[in-house]
Amino acid sequence: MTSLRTPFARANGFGSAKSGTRNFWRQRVTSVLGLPLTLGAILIVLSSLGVDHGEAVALLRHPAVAIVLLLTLVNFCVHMRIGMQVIIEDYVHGPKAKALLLMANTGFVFAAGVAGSLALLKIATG
Amino acid sequence: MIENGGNPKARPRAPDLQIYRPTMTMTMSIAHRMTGAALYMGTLLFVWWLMAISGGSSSYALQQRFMNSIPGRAILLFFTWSILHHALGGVRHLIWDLGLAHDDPWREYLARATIFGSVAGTILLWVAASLIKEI
Repeated sequence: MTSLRTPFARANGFGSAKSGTRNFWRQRVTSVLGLPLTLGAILIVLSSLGVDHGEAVALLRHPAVAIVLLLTLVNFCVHMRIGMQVIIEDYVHGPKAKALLLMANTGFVFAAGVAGSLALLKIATG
Repeated sequence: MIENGGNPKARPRAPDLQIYRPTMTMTMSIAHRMTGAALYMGTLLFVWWLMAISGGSSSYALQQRFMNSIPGRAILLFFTWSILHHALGGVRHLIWDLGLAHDDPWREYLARATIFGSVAGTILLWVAASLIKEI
């Protein structure tokens, strides 16, 4: 149906949805948190180089190590989901392809996050 | 998104990347996005490492064998550089978010610091890693 009203007139007066900056802000929060967490994860990976399986389990069972790695993984997942969403929205314009890729993005991030978290929890509690 | 806003006349399009002279800041911006996308896939390496340790000594041995192979090492080297480049590029963006260093020459210094820092950091980490493995 054709409306004679302009898009601005239709939207005017309703105010903003107040959620337009949510992802923008979340990306900044996770990037700031990501700096110390990534540093911690790098140090943990460095100290795991060349160790055998038993030593690797012992390292990851340490509560501080498990907490840092779990937080790093969750922080990465939130950050990379938004990042990939921006890439998809920038380059994919077909509505169907875009919807499918956005779903795939969520699926990938959730799968990686759950698989990694479960492995960490299994090691920490095993 | 409403294409054309219902206006049948095609609107002028913004100039595309290929008509701009490449600049340092532009290259670093593209590298930031590319390393971000690479790290997205690289998360699988991190998750594989965790799953291999939780899976037992044989799955851990398989993961370690891959990481010590030449393709494994090449992927890990690229992963190291990507994470440092993306982290430093992120710091650059946070500085900009504070309203600082938008002007010449500071934005150029930051762009150069990103590439030099990430390459130097990668070398440093790999030297540290080889020393740790020697011990």
